[in-house]
Amino acid sequence: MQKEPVTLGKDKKSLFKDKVMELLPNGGNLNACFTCGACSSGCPSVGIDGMDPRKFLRMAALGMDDEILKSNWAWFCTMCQRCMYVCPMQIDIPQLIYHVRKNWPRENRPKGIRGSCDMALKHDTCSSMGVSIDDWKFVVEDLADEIRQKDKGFEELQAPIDKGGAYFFLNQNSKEPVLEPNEMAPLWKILHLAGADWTYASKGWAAENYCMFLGDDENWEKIVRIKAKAVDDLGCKVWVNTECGHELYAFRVGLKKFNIPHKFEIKSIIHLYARWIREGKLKVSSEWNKNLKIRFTVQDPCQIIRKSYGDPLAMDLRFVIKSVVGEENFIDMYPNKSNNYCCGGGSGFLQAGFPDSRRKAGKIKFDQIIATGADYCITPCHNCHSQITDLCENFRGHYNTVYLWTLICLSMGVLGQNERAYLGQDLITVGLS
Amino acid sequence: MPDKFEPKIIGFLCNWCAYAGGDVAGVIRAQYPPNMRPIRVMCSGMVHPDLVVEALKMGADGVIIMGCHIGQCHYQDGNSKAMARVEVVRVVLEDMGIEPERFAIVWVSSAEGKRFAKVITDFTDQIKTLGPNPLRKDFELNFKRV
Amino acid sequence: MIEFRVNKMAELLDVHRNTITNWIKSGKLKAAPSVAKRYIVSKEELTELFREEGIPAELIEKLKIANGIKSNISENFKDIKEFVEIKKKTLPKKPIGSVMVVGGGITGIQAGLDLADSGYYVHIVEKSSAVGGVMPKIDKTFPTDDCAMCIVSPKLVKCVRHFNINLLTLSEVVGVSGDVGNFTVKIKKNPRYIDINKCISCGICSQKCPKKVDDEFNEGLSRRKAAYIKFPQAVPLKYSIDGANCIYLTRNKCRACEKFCPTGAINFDEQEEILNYNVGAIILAPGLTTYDPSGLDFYNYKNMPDVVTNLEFERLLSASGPCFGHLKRPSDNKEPGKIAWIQCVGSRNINRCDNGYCSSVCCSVAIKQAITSSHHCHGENGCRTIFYNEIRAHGKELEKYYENARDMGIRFLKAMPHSIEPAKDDSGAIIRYMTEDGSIFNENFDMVVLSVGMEVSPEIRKISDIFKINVDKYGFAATESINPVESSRPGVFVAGTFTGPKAIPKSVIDASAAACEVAKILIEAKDTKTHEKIYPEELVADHAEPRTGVFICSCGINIADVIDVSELSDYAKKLPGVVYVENNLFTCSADTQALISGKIKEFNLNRIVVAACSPLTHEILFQETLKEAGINPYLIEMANIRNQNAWVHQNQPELATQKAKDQLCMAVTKVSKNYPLFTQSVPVHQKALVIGGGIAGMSAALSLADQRYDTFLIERDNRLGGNAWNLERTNKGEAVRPILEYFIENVENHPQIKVLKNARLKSFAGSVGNFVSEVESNGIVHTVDYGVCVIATGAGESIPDEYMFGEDRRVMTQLQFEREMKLNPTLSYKAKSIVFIQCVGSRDSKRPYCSRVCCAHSIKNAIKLKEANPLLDIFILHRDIRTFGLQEELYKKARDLGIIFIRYYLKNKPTVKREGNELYVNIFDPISQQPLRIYTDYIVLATAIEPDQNEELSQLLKYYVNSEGFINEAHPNLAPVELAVEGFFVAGMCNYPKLIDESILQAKAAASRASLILSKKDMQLDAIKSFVTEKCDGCALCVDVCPFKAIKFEEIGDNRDKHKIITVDNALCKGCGLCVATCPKGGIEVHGFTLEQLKSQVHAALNTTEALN
Repeated sequence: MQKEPVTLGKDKKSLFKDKVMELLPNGGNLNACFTCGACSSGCPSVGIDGMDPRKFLRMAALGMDDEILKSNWAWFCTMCQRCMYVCPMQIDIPQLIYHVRKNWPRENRPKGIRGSCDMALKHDTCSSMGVSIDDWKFVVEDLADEIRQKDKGFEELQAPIDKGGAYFFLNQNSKEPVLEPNEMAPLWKILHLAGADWTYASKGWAAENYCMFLGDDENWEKIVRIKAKAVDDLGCKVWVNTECGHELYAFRVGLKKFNIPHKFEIKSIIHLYARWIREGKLKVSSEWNKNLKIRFTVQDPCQIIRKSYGDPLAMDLRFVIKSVVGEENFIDMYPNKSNNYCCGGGSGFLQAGFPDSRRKAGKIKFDQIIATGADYCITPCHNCHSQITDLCENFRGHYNTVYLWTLICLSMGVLGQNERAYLGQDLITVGLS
Repeated sequence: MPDKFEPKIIGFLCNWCAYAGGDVAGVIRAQYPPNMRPIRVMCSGMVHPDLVVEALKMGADGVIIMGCHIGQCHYQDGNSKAMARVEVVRVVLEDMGIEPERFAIVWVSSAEGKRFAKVITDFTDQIKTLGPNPLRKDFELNFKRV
Repeated sequence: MIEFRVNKMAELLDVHRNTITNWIKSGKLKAAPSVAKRYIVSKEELTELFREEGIPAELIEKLKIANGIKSNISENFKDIKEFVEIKKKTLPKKPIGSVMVVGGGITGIQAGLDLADSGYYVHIVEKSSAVGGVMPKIDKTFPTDDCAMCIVSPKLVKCVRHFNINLLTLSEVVGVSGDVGNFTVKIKKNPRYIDINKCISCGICSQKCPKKVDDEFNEGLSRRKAAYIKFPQAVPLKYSIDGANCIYLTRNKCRACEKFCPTGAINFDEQEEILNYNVGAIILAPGLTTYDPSGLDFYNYKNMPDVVTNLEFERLLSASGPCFGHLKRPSDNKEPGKIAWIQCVGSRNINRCDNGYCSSVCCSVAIKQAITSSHHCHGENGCRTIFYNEIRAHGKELEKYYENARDMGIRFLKAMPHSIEPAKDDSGAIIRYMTEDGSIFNENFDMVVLSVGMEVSPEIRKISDIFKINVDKYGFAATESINPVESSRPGVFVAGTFTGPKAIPKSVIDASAAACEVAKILIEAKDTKTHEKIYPEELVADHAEPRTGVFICSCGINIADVIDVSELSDYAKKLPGVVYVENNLFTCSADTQALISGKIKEFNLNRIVVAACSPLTHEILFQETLKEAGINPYLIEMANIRNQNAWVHQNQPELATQKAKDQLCMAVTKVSKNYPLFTQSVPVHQKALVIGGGIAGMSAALSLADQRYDTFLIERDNRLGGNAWNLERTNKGEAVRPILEYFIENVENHPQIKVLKNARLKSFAGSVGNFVSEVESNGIVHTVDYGVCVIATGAGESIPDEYMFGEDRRVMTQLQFEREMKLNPTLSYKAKSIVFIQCVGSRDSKRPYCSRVCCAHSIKNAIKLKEANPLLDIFILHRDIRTFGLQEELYKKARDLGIIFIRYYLKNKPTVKREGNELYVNIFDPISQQPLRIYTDYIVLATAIEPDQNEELSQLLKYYVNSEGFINEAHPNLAPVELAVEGFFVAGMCNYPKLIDESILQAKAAASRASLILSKKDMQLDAIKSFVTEKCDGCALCVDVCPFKAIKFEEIGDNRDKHKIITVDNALCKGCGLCVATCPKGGIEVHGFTLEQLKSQVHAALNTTEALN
């Protein structure tokens, strides 16, 4: 059926695309598109609701503002920048999407994302799950006590909060204190064994920023400011991002975007894992897997690898994994590293409330993992972790999804019994004495 | 007759492609049977049908004309003209009682050293299968008588 | 008719000269301009005017009466002394008559040959061990699919043998000083470690060398030794030792090559040398490198063996490559079934590199590779797939080439893949792509070819730095349209891909154009640095009685190892006419040449046979020896017992010796039938005729006249300039009008150019060097004699018959619109929307070619409008935007400005409608999958360019045109400005649609090639020509078969014995012998290849009695 023609050339109206271009450096090159389609052939969300990045940009260029501004596709695009990675004209389609999100009336934006953003604004913890300072302190101290009492060799373990002058400032995704506090234990053990001088803070510790996903600049900035102040108030030298993707990006880019003065450096915990293993501080070994031959693959989180540190950090990530599970038991998925596919759940897609569409976007990731034949997919990002776990259940896969800290501790023989929520039957007792 | 039949083949090689291809076969040491006697001509289209007939009449076991690939003639379309004469020659040969398969025309470029060797190898094999030129016997007798 | 000069007329009538001019301008005096500022008017008109003005009628009689006058204007040029004096002031004083050419690729070679052939001494500097550049690596050239090696190698051989070319291999420029006319160029010559004079290229050094390294000639797909030749046909065919890898030179042991070299050519003591050369001018043609895709992780080039670059794929296809012409993929050496090409890798890309330009050739290369590799294709759909964004088949015949490829089943997918992913077992690849309608596909391919573009390497940038010439932001040498081979530094010229990405024909054109410019500035020093060899007078010997000397070469052990040379010598002695036989270790060595000379005298030899290597490489050498000994050079024959015997029958020494005997017998027999041949010389009219007074014609005329050749320029119209009058700016943004005025002024005032306007060629006769024609101009018939002719008759805009053209005045052609823009400066503010429609009448069944200039033309106008008024909506509806080369920047700029480009297909063309007074275009946008209705104030049709269908001229000159009427060049790659008829050249749009700078270049190139003929008073013709025998009975079968129209049919004799015979024009005959094979009576023969000579070889080969008698 022939669609109604779009009328052009009649009355000049100001285009949404042009307004966005005014806000972006070089206009995001949005005009430069010669419609080659490389973007779309590598986009995980291509074809959902008949849309793809090239078409979206094209409609914007033709002034079809009503269509694009109303399109749910703005929430299906995970702004993973895989399009921009290869675009010969380096066109910033993700920023176009961001501004479309921004243009939605706030109240119409997906409830899941909006709720998490609003929740984070309620407490200085910035927790999107509404964890208060007291709750936070209680959970941390309680768990630390438990480890000190129960786990041999960790009698001296500390999980300090607000330790002034500590070298590292560590953040933590709210999911752990709220839903699975035991997942914090492996991380603390690693920090303990590495002899790291670290602290949590009572404020601004939460490793999430849904206001960015929401396209809510004002509150994105507000949260970044609280967090930056928390780090500088304690006089920490390095802000360490735990195994979380978007928070690294939101904080790193937010500081720059909103021009927020600060005195600390930023590091991904993956940097530190790799360094500590190289320095011999973490005595990891893949011996445990020598006979088991359990195979692992890894998801390179877009926010950490492609959008932040690129292949060098992806190589560090592999170094850590290979040290922990054995070189021969690691199988890369294709494509990988900086050119990896987004899990399909990023930038709020996971929370936006379109599960069918999200799983469609994630199907490529599922197929990639299945193609490796791996028993485990390592996800050093909470968003990836949730999405990949969900994909496995939904598409009936047979792999487990696991954080890196779990495996590091497993390989050092210090992973406790109740720290194995994400391990399968094959590993549930490995390394337990 | 000798134990092993070693045919004698006359080759007319065009100056620009085939002869140069034959030289390259040498540079890359592509081996082929030593039965062909090369005669350099300016163009495959220069070879008069009489020459082909004469060679076979005189007892050559095979005649091969080698030129540039069609469309690449140094003289625009000399090789096409040579090609156009092939049928006539074949008819004449049949009339004379000579298998037309003893005559071939092929295209070899100056870069195709390896192919040059293969073409000669294949054609020599073909002639070996056909056996000696039936006219050769008569000719040899004549020769002895003289 | 009456012809007059304005000032003479003014004098006669006693009025101011402006009065006359005003009368002419106002039309009061209906006079038409003739030659040299003269005018022509009819007597009636003049009488009428005189009556009106009250001028006595008898004064008319005092004016020259031109009616019916036939003039021979050939000797009638102005006194040029004064002009030459003026010119001299702008030229370098006492320039040096030699030239430095940097780069030994096809461009450098062509430029060098052009100059060396026209009176200048040339140094060619080549970095590697052999000349040829990229071309020898290429399997075939598009669009003719010629073997690249075959067409380049004769040029290379000619270059290395040229008496006036000094070939400096393994050399690079390290410094330059001085100024135009007198530069000093400092060259670093790297050691070859093999004495070029001793090396017999037997290859034993390479066989014995234990060190293997990646072979860069095969793009690293195979291995070579540290002692090596670049490729089997390398020129010079001399081995060299790669110092960086040689075991002795790096670790001080081995020396195997030295031990085994049969001539003692290895010299490890050779040192790097610094040489200084004084030259008058410099041509830089260092070429380009290809983009290295290793950094593009998403294409996985580094990790997947079956992902190769287009240049690697050339080597895989090439008969001389690692697969010997049988394509195999690297991962498992299996023949690949499905192959994909990905276009624009490292071109049109500002993300992964800064190569914002289009590399211009890769589309055609991919098409060629798909076609030539599809012999291996097994009919599966998509077994050859080209992923592209725009197919830029912009050159001549390339659109048909593209269409043909489609017809062959080659699949063209307008879809750029994001990534290449490995397939199972590390062989082949998976490509995921999205078609225009948004459908996603995953497809397996056995191989993927990355069509990598060209770029300027740091090494090439260094050359620009050394010569201190300006470059653009990509590092390409900066030039201007008016002289696209002139660098920013006087006396330094630039050519080939150094000035931007281009294919072989354009590089060859560049080369000749640069040579032309050099010849212009060094004209004072012509023939001052060149040498000519003087030979003794030929001995008058009795040639009927052969006294043959036979020299049998052992070639070290190359021949002697396989062939029993002593048996061969004994055999030779028994052959009829042989009076002397000798076996040499190396017959080609310098001392052997002296020895042969001595033996000739001692034994009174009058025929020589050399049994050694190939006549293709060595005959000239031995001919020289004969000439020096006073023997006619055609009294030699070579028996090729090395390349075509010892080397190819290594394991059959007995049969090889038998074959060698036959070969020797054949040579001895033939040489006995040889007779002296003499090159003929014909005098040359050192004048040129240029047909067509547009930019191309004027440029050709100026280039010839500046080299001091009298030139006639005839123009059909009443003014010079042609299409350029309608153009405003070049693609580089320069105003066209000043360029045009520059040309017209220089042409009209040049003392050695005679311009005839309103002129037509009426007759044509003669052959190269000696043509004569009648030209009618304003009623006067001039007789013109000339040695060469450049045809530059141009082309024009076709008249569209669609899109409401002619029905609505808002629909106009590009040129009409450009006039409208000029007349209506506020157009861009008044209009709200303008639509350009591309390919109107091009690339369809009627005109299956790309008009080439229209994309950039429309974009240029669109940019101008959009820059004036950013609120104006501009839409360009196209089928592929073809802004090839550096024009891509215009396309990018247009997009950045917000001009919208919408693609349409032939099956779904846009439609133009009018409702009331509203004009709109309907088109379907494939990207948004959305029909669009574009209201517009103007519709600009980029109409096809049509050649001038000049029946009269083509009938007269009998040049070949292609099916669309564009004049065909002799060979699209290597003779891009020559016509098949010798002495004729082509330039500009009559050949194919061209941009202004391209027309200028082609015109200069044509002038350069033409000046090779004009440069000498006498032209030497080759001795290998056909001749008529007494057996000719005038049947004329040979006349039509001659490809060069060299055979004429003539009637001779008086009334009593009148009969027809044929005659051969030696100037046209090329000695191919097609006539010989056609003649049933032996009425025509070719010298050196007579039927008797060929038959004698047949008989000798068969050892018949006739042979032995």
